[in-house]
Amino acid sequence: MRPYLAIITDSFHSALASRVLWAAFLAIWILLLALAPIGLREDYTTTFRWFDIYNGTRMKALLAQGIVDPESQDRAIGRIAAAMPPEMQRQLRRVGEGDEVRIQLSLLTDALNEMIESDAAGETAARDQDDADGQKKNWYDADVWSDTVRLRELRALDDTPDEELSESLLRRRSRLRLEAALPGVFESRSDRSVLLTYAGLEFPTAFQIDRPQFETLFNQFVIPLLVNWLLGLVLVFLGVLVTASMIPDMLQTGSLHLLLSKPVSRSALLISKFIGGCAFVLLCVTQLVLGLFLIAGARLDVWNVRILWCIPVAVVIFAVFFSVSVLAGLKWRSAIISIAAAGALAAICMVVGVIGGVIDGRVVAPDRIAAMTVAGDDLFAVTGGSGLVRMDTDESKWLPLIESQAGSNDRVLPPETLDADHVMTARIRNGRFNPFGSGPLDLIVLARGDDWKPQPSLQLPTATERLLPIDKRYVAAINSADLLLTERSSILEAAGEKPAEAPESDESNAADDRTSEPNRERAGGSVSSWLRSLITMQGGATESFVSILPPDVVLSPPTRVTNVHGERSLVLLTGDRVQRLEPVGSSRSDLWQVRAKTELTRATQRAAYVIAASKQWIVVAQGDSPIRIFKADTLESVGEWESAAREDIVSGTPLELLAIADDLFLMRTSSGHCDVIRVTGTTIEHAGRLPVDEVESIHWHAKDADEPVGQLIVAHDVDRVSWFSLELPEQSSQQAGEVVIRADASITPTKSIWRWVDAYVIGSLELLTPKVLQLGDTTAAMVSGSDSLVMGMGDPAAPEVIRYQIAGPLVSCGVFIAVMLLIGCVYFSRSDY
Amino acid sequence: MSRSEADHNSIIAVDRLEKTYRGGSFLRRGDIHALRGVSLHAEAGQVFGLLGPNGAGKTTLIKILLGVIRSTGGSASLFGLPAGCTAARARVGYLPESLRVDRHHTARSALRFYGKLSRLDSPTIARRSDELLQIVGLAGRDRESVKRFSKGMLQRLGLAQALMHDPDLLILDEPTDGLDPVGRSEVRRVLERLRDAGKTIFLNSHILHEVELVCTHLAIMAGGHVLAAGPIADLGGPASGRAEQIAVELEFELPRREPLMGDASANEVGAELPLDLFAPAHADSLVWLGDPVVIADSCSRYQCRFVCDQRAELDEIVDRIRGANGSLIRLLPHRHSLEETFMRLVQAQDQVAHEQVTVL
Repeated sequence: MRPYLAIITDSFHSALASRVLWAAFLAIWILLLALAPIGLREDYTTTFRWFDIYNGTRMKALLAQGIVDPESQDRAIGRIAAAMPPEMQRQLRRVGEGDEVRIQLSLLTDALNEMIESDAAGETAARDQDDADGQKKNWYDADVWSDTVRLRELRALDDTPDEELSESLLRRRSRLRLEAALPGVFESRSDRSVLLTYAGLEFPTAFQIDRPQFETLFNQFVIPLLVNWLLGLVLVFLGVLVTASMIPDMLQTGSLHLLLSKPVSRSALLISKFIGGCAFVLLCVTQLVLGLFLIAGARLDVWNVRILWCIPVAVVIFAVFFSVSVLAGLKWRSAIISIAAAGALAAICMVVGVIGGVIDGRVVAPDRIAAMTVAGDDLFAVTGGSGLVRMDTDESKWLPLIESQAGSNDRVLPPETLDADHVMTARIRNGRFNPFGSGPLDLIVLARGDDWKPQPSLQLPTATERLLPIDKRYVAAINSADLLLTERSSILEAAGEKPAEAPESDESNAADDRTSEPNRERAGGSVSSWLRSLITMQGGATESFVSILPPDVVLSPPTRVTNVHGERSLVLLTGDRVQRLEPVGSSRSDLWQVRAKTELTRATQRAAYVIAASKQWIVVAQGDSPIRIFKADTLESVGEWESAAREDIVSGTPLELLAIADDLFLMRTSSGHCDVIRVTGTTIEHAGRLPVDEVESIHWHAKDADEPVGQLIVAHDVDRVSWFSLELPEQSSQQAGEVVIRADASITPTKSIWRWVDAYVIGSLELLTPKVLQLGDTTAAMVSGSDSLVMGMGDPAAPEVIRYQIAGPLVSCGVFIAVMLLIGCVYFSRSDY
Repeated sequence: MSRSEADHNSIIAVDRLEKTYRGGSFLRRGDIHALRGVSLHAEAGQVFGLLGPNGAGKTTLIKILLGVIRSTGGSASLFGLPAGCTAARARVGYLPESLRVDRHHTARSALRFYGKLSRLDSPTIARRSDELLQIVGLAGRDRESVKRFSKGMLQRLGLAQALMHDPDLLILDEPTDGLDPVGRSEVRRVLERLRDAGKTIFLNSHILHEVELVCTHLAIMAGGHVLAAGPIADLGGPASGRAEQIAVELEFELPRREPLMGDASANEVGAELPLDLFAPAHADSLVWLGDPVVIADSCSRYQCRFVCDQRAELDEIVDRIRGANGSLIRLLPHRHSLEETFMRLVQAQDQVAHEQVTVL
């Protein structure tokens, strides 16, 4: 080994002698010095940002109601509306009078932030001001606010004397008061935020996020960005510049003949030179990454040792380009051609990556199956391109019912089955980033008799996010602020269809419900037509949908609702609180009541909740936190599945939970797998895994709601569908073994020409080029410690999952480097010099 | 000497070695035959000089011996091992023609690097570096960057690295090329010390004088052939020439001869050369030094060189000149130099090559 170590060391010294390297070192140190003063200040979340508002339309409507509705003027929303700037009040009045007025969210938040300031300041300074001014400033009134649903934190702050509260906490209290007065408007945020500072000065930015968000942002975006651009581009480019002359220099007659006369193998000589070059880049990268790690730890308190994984990844990126540079150097003995060859490879990787990305975004993503349902023997699905498709099993292809479009802003709600001949969904125009969407929101019914053509049906409540069949009679619509109920028969009738079989009505019939005054309690009794339209605008009851949300329950997005498998009850998870809702009477117009509730311990991370309920258990998962188990009837917490134990068996973030029997659940995770898990009471055990990777969505088609018998339909690998039967263990045997999963059928839909191009042409190109760009994914996965990133908490139907490629890019780059070196070694060994 | 002893002492054995560089042309018209069946043999303790004009194939032969390139025919071995194999290379010290040491090195760090390539351990490298830097006269400048080294210093450093691992065979490619006279003298002194120490040295040079002074054995190459090989004494070196042979340089005058009737070459000067007078001389040894000079209308002066095997033959030639009414102007005993042998062989080779081209 001694000769080869000497060559490695010599290459290293040779690179160290380069001026470019010292320029790079200088640049690294300057960068680190420039970054060193960055700091972090944590404070209470006091001000509103535009992205805190989940449903701006509801906010507008609530405030408008506060101005125009005489009865609301003495309520919290009235007080807030009255404290708005006059220009804003004028605009809100126009909204209340039915005009179409666009109000910028930032203006609304600015107004609210001014109110926070005035409230906090008003507590101390404005008490002595004259009445008129005081009335404006002191919008808060404890009596008025006693009607609102106040969170625990606000109650605690309200109970604390002002003198004991810091200025920051006073502002926090004011913000919480505003949130309490405007329920269902704001996204749930952490009570504390972090602010970036530089040399003790706060950044002049309105960007305020909480700490877990900051850490996610830092680990999953900032670090991979640094690796891709700072390390991947700048340092690797510098590395290639410095090392490009290494091989041509070695091949100069006077030094090569002497080297070759020594008792060393040519292949090992070349590989030693290669390692020497990599070792030098390792030195540069280590300095930078170690510096970043120390700055992140010391200044931002993010002591993430996994950041150091960036070092080997950056060296692998360099090694890919260096291997090509070495080969070009061997062949042409020119440093310039070596640099050009590395540059050409970078260009090829970039072009292939961009083409692959475009094709994936424009061709593949719109075809991905996002959610499915079954009506009779027909399978329906919503696609990633906001289309609705039906599977034609005879021709093995998906037939479009609503066309998919790449980059569509529309949102098609996951389809739900009304009966064997009818399926319902809704298309929310521009609803992807705004739950309110634009234009009228009608339920769409597809009937077998109409050849599954979409027919408009009832008007849905504003900002409906999900449809949920509750039992054979009712369907619930869930939006950002309310839970509303209608009957299946009403939906069918509105679409001009005849209900297949009208379930027996206990007391009132559907006609009575429709004519009855909806949502009396929530509208406050005296409603004029414009006021009713305001309520509709807020997401309240419509003519056909009746609110069933108990008055003491406020939805704080993101909300998760699931029906208890086989029962007429709902489990609601909102704002870290799980509540079991059950109807009081049998009439549709009756409000439901909270039968049981429990508080979830606030998790440090803000990942989206996933929930499923059987008759026996309720299972709640959130990101990488332990999966919690509650008794279904009392919501008593009985156990949990430790994260470490789970991730050994089931990796990734849980994305979907489905109850298929009292103690059996299906769990789909961001790793692309779907597992059967069994709740044993205090914990969960793994009961089987579906033999497919890249699962897109799952649908459990229960044959009988009371029996754990059914068929599992799995969409995987973009738009393939497989049917599975689960042989469930006997209920009596508590410690039953694995669930037997039997594949019944599978359909691979015929590919379109562009899908074919993607699979074979782009696929081949990607196979032949090293996946250097994807190494950023690898870094993100290594730094964050998870193999996927789930975004889009607000939309339970379509969370955006970024599945990091970890092994793939490393293997691809490793194979590429090995092939280049092999060619280099063979060429070097067989050439005469 | 028995065959086994010969094998035991054999350091370099080259047998009908061929090397053709592919020209890249499809019809192989651009192929270059650098070696055309070279055979030579060097034994332990010899200082073997390889002499030849540029393009003779000397460097190609050395590259094959070192394993830098591969032969296309024949065989070559070092120490009885296939030339170029790792075990053979481990016993060879090599100084390339124009040594290039990476600019980041000092003399000492370069020696350390090359020592490690020769699998020496650090203490040995340190000890040998001290000794060799002293020997090659770089002792006081061993910490200086080689960037500041003159060509002579680099060449001496190259010599030191070649000796680093105390090799059994030293292959030196133009070791004094580009050096000033003092540098050449220094390098020569080092070589002489090594020769006296019994090292086997294979020296490639086109400086005849240097070869003459240092080498014990010699091979003369031209056009990819070995034209002559053997002890330097046999090839016109300082100790060449058999005791009984007499080489003479003669200047004499003769009355002008009448051209023969009908002789087509009658008017040519060469036709007037009195070749018959030198019949007793050693065959083919007669070399005319310039054309005859006409002294008077009836007299020409000639100058030539020839070899006789016996004194009586020389006497007879003198008698023949006298008998032809000639008179001796000058008679000098003459000795063959290496240069003459070299030039003669190379010119003959050139002529053969020219004829081959003409025939083709």
